[in-house]
Amino acid sequence: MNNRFPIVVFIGQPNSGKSTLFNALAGPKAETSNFPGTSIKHTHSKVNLEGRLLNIIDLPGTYSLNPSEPAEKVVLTHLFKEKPDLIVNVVDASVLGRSLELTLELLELEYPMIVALNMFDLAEKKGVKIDPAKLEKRLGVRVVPTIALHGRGLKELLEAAYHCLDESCPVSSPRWSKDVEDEVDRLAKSISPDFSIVANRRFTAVKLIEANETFCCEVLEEINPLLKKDLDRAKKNIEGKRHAPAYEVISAERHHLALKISEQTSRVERGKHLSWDEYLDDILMHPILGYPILAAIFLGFFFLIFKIGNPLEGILLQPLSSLRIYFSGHLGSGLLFHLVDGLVQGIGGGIAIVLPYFLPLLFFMAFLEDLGYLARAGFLLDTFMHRIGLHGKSISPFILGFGCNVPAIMSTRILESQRDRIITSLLIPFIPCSARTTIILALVAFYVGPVWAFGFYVFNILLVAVIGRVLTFFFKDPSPGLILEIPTLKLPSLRNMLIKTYLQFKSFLKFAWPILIGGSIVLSLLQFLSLDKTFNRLLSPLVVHGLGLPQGLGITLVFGFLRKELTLIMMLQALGVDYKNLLTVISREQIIVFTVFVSFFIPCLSTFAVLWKEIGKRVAFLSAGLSIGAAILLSLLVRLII
Amino acid sequence: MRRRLFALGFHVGDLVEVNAQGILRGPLLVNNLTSDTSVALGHGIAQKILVEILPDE
Repeated sequence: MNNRFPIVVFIGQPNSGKSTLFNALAGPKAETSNFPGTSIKHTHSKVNLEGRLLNIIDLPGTYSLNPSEPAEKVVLTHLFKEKPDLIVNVVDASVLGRSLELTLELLELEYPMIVALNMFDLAEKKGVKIDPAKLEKRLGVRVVPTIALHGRGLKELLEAAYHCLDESCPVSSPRWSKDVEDEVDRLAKSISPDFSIVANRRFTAVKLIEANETFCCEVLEEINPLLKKDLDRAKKNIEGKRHAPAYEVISAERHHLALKISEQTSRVERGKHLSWDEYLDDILMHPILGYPILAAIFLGFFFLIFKIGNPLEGILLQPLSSLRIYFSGHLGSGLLFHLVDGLVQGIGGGIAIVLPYFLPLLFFMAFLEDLGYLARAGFLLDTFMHRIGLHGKSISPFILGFGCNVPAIMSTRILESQRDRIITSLLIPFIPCSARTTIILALVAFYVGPVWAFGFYVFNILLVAVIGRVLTFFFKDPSPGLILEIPTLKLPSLRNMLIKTYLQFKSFLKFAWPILIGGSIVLSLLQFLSLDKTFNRLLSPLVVHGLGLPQGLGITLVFGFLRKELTLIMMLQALGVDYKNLLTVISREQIIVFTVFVSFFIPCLSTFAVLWKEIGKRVAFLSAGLSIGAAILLSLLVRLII
Repeated sequence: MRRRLFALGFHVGDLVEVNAQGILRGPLLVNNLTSDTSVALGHGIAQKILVEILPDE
């Protein structure tokens, strides 16, 4: 780590707007949403702010410093390893009472710290008036009201940050009730200097009391039996006085202190009327009405993308096919033509076929996320998740999976149990990601009709449920229950949605497009050398006899492993027709069979790689096997039915 | 599990209200009035929480 730049750590509870604030300061780098736990990885970035370089770290959200999820452990490691020069605690002002619990815990560290009182506008809308000056006095650190979304309060926040970095701003830990404080104090004093102290003695003592039995106490027994004895005594004394487990007493102390401070520093002016979001929530989360609304929203989502993408696709394909005709007329049929043709197919196919659906899809996905609807969908679907033996928390990786499977698999880190992680990761490759949705829209909706495409989607989701049920049958283990925070509904900001779309589009340009172009050129070369026929002949037992597809499609399936959209572009290339005349060489039924096979047949290369890295080799291969099996079985089945 | 609930702002003695319930023994949407947070609780967990019903104000 470069020590010349001061390290500034952004920390706060999930969905408090750390990443939005981070982006507002550092430019679009971290992905944001109105969904707890979006930032799974921490974002590191060297930022030049008003002429000074800072090393800013945006950590995943955490509710407390006693982590229970793998993602939350990242937070602790960073706090202790990198010894930040300044902590910026991002607090959601609209839920001040709860948010202050983490703030109080951070104060115990006694590291230099400032508080960004974020979403100040939302709190005011809720009728909560907070007095920042009073809060500042109670906490003993600078408190700056911010509205990260609109960039307000950033200048003041920076000034406060520089002030703390330049001059010291001492922080002292908040004190609790005397009886508890006495015990903590005594324990802190008995910690010998050679014991590894984190932050300060008091903090170490508190964390020892709060720590998990197996983690702290068995280890401690081994290395420092004397301290262990003191610890046991402190715990016993606290428990004797309060008649509750010691860790609960400490948590309750923070809770009450947080509530007290929040009551002293804010005034609630809310009348009796329901605010619009509460009213809306009553309808959205209604036990019966909620489900048709959920279906309607996704149906609308789907049709809207199709309605935008479909005409665009038609318009954009026109020049592409003229271009190809032009080249074939001028370049003959030699190597040069094949190279150029591959290039045109790769670039043009990306623009004309992928982007018209991909971009609106990203944009509307961002809308639903920022609105806060996705967490509500998780709530509504939890019942069904239980039926397949998982709980609602797996919903969030699943929902991310509709965008791209890769971050979805990474986000399984929010699941506490390894069993849930494995099952969820095995199921994610079956979720139609944006690449596959594009294929479904561009092939099935374009040629067969949008209703079929929607049916395909529903079928796909049912399939996930069925496979999930089968998998949970093999991994029998009780899964921990659902505790999912439901964020308030927020009107999404256009700017944020555009940034998010842009970020994802950029990574598509960087990683996927080169593969699309490269793949097209490779296929052109193979065609030139007539090697494609050899591949196709090898695959023909499956492709022609099994699936009833034209022999020429065999090779495209192989390339689909690299990138699912590639299959789509290559399909036209391999069949030697342009988009308009596709139906002359392949029937509608064949298109459906082909789409089924391509969608399920194998997790794409990046998904495979991330599965390997995150969960392990065995799961990655298991997933590949599962997908191939399912794809063959299903497409045969579909062929028989249609 | 207790720790997790504490971290989310649920403590002994808090005032809560149930806002919605999923169908088929689904999760409950619980709003903690004391710390002003909404949390979806799975049925299994909700079942283990003891509450006292207060008369409507």
